[in-house]
Amino acid sequence: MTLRRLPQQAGEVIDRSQPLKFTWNGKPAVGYQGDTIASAIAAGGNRIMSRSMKYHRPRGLLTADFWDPNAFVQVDDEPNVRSGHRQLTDGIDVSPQNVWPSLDYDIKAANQLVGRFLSPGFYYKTFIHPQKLWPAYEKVLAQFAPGGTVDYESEMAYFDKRYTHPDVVVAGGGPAGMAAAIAAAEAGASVLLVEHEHYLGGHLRYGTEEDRALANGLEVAARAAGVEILLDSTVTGRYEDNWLGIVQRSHPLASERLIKARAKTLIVAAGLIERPYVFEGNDRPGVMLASAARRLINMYAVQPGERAVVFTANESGDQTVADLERAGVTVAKVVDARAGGNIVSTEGSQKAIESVTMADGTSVDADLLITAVGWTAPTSLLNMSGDRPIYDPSAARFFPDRTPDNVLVTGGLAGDGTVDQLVEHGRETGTLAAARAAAVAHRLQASTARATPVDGAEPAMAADTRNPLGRDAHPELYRSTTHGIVDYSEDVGSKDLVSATKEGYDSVELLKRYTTATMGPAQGKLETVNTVAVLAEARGETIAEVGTTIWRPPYAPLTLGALAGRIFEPERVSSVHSWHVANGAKPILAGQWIRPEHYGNPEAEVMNVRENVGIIDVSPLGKLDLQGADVPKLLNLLYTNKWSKLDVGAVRYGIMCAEDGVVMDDGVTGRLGENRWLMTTTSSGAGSVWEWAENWLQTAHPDWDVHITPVTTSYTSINIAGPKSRELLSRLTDVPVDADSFEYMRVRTGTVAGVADCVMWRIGFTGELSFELHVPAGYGLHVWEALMAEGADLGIKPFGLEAQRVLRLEKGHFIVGQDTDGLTKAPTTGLQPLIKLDKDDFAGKPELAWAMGQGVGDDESSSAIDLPVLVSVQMTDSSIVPPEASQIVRPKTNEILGRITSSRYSPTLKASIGLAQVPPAYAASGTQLTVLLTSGERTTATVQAHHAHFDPDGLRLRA
Amino acid sequence: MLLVPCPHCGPRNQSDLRLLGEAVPRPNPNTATRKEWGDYLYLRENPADWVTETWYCRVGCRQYFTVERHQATNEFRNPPLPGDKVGNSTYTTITVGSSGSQRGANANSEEQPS
Amino acid sequence: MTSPTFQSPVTNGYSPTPGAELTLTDQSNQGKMIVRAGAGTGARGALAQPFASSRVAGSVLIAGTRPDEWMILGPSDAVSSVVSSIPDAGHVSFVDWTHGRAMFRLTGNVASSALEKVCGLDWSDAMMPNGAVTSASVAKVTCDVIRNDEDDTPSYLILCDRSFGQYMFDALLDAGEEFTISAVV
Ligand SMILES: [Zn+2]
Repeated sequence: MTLRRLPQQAGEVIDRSQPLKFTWNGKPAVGYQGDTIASAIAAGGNRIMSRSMKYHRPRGLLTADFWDPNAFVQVDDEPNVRSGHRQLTDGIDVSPQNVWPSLDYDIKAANQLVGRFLSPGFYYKTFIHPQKLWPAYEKVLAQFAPGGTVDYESEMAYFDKRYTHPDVVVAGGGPAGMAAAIAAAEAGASVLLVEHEHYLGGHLRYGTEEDRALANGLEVAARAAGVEILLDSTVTGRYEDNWLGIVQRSHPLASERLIKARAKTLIVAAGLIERPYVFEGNDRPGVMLASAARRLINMYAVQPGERAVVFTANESGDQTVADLERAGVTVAKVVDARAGGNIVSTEGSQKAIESVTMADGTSVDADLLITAVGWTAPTSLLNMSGDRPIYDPSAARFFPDRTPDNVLVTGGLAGDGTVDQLVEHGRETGTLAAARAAAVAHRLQASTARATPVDGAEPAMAADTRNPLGRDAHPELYRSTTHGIVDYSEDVGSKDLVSATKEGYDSVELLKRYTTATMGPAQGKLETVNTVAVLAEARGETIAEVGTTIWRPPYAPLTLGALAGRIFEPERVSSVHSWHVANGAKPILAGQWIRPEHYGNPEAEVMNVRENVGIIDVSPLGKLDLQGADVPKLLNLLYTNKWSKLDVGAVRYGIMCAEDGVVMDDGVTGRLGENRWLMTTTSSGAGSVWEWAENWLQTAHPDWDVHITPVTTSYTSINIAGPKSRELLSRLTDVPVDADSFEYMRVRTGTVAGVADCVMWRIGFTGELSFELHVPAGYGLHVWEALMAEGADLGIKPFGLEAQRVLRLEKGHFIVGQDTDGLTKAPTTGLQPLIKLDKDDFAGKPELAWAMGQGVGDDESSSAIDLPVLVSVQMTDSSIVPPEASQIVRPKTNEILGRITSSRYSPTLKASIGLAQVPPAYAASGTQLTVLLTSGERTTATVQAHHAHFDPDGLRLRA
Repeated sequence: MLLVPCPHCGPRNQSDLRLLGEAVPRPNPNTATRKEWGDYLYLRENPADWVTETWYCRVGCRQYFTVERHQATNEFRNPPLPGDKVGNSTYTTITVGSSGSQRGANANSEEQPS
Repeated sequence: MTSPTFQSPVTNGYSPTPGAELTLTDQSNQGKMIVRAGAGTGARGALAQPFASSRVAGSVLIAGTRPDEWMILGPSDAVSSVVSSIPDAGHVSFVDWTHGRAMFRLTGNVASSALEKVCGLDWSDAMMPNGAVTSASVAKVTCDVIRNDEDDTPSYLILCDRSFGQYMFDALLDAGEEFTISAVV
């Protein structure tokens, strides 16, 4: 055991009075409140945290933080937990991933022995052919797929979402970020400070006593200044106009909360991420970054080894030496890169290093190798702001180039300096950010209609007069003279990258996708620059010439649950909904509406409409109130038929086409008064027809006097259908409903069941005598119940959507979107008489004219285009109802001619009936069609003479 | 999430509006040739440059309006609109130490948004 | 036959939460009238309320909901009497939306925090002061929202299509749960 818990450390964040029990790898273990899972496991003496995903090599802690690629564990039913970040809680069961059968003995580690076959692109190249073996490959490969285990029985977690509009968002709570937040808040800005870790302070947290005192002081000042602080949260993306995605992992009520923030100014203070070094044996447990060792010792009081070699190129490495010595680790050798020193390999078993070999050929025994070779600038949020950071070889890292006015950079991303200089730069940045936010706020407020009026001219965008941070010289250290792992999480080595480059994948974006380097859970934070460096070396170019991949959102991963947030699925119900539920309706979701599909027996519901009377709740039917002198002009423009002469009290059916002649919607419109019309649309078309009509009015005919108001849910709409519907309605209304007083296709307004202002029209979608009532919705249930009560002796029954579909199909009525599709032009429906090409204008007119052989450029010799024809069909075998969308094929071939668009068994006719789209040559009455069933069998159907299978002359609905 | 300057409401989240695309004049339906009508229906310029396009303030004031937007930078102009693009129209140089010459070279690259 | 009584779209039952920070009150039975008035009409002058703002006139609220549309809210009789005073000459139209819209009142000092959970608008006092009127997507449903404070306590009227009423009421209760909320139906 080389790792152990140290005596109390001055800066430790663990609470030794609160021990927490958990299990690691099946064995009981103990840690403290404040531990990360990884620090608790390490404190228990465990060096191996996981096995790597491809070669299943044992791996130990590398960074000991959020980005540690070797510390993914399973916690209870949750896979892929970042144990370097997630805090320990009592009673959890933690197990390693990618291990089978165990962490110590892993069968799949045999992959290592065949490592030379697992070259980059191995899976792409090997498993492509033959295609039919894919399922077999998949089964085997799935066993080797990395990651933990998903528990499908897991309870649903609660996620949350929130929007916010702060003046300033600061991404990163290190010294510069905190100073910026304080300065911005003191300048009067509302500030949201987002810190990735559980603590403010950044690298100060694992630094000296002075460092910690400064961090604490800044934190106190930030809270005093009213800064809203989100810990354990990450700004994951920056989008247009400073729209930010922030994932909050620390919310008390939700597993994760996604915050969408519109920041007036964004300050990026993401700090720097220490970079691993590439050399032989660099993934052997015991090789660790300097910052990892400092975290373990100073924050978690964990001794990371017993005998260390430190390879250092910077102050952070130097400080680690002191930390190690204080923690009782023997520092066997310090190799200083600035003095020309280098390391080339580690030796030892798979599970631990035993010695380190230097460039001069000497070897030193050690169980711990610390590397401090430099920093990666996590410029993601700057990339997302349009910046293309520039590589500075003298400082061995990328620096921002230029960002928009509303994005400012401070801290290590912007340059180097003493802590005081970083804090000063942060302060200046915060002040500048607040000034710019004020200018943005002024503009937003002054230009928003609903906002409080704001006085004065818009302040100018404040100039950037900050004192720049300097840049420290740093040797360029990416790869030693040997090869090693570049991407730990994807198990990609520098050798793999070199060979892929030789294969021709020599641009950074291609190399990344081919080798998957940088595509693992660390998402490039540790390995991108090393990848670029290896590529540059292989191409004989500089890093600046090769450039880097573009960092895209998210900066840090978030769960799909967080992205979904609380799920809003708006649902709509009619005023009669509670009655439907109480009376056994089977619900069906139609768009957003919950509607009764049937009340138990749809066939009986059909027959009852044919024989007695039924009522159906058709409230979702789209309804638009139209008022104004120019409504007839609008109707003429929207519908293909004529509307100028619609008199008060009349109702007319029409179809609407888009400008390409495709059927968009249909419905009836009635004239309720001299100056008032009620338009109905399909249920799904209610919104789009409204927008379509407004578009014509506002953009093409702003001079027309028409007001459109949506009134779909102002009314409960009830269709009363069946031979006894007149008798029923007459019992409840003061409006005369006899055949002479209330003719087919007329509209009346009056009182029904004591409810005034009901609209009634006599139309017949079902093919029966029927009346459609539109009742003020607050009284909808009352009228429905009155109809049910009054109709009891007439045999009234409610009917649902399914019965309505059968009834309308028996009658041969098509449904837009069911029997038509995105290519169906109006003539296909067979309603040519409703297409009035002699009107001056209507939507889609030219297309319909060409379709009918009467367009511009057409002459006497022109003929109609061969559009499909909608026909009614009956199956030869009444016991077969082909599924809707069944293909109609040319006999004895698989050539598709058309399709069944609707099909049902008709209880009225005792026949299997349908509608179908077929070519004109197959549309004549009596034509035999071959229908291909999903089973592969074929059946036949006969084209009917009329669309209506039932009562083609319409005697019943005109009764 | 782009802020779109509705001339009535002021800047609103893009998701509150519907973009209808480049504003294309409707040919005379009684004289248009097949080509003219086809162009009206389907042909769009889609330049990496300024376009005049139509938006519908679907969630807000329910008004259609046209505005010019630069399709590469997402700036708006013409007519002068309330809440025109906030903060993105000019770029400032981050002040850093030693590699000024490199920065200068890059500042003239083609990627520089105007 | 029973005589008709107005039925709210909120049909579920709720028991109040004593001491809650927020209250959500169902006011769907209030009268709601839409007035549309073209440019130059006398109705515009009589309404005298700019787009995106509102005023209290006796027992009714007059809100400029669109550039050419106003909503008059309040007890049905009072709404009717205001409407009858509006000149209807020219391109002016009236639509009774009493039955078409659900209407809820969300009141409390943290009401804007609850709204932030269901709507992407900036609810700060500067951007949405008392009296401000807007239309916004709330829990994915387009709503008219009017800030109408009660005794200096922030309060918002939220109106949506009646068919969404039950869904919206529950969505707002869910949004307010974090702060404690009491339903009044
Ligand atoms: Zn608008």
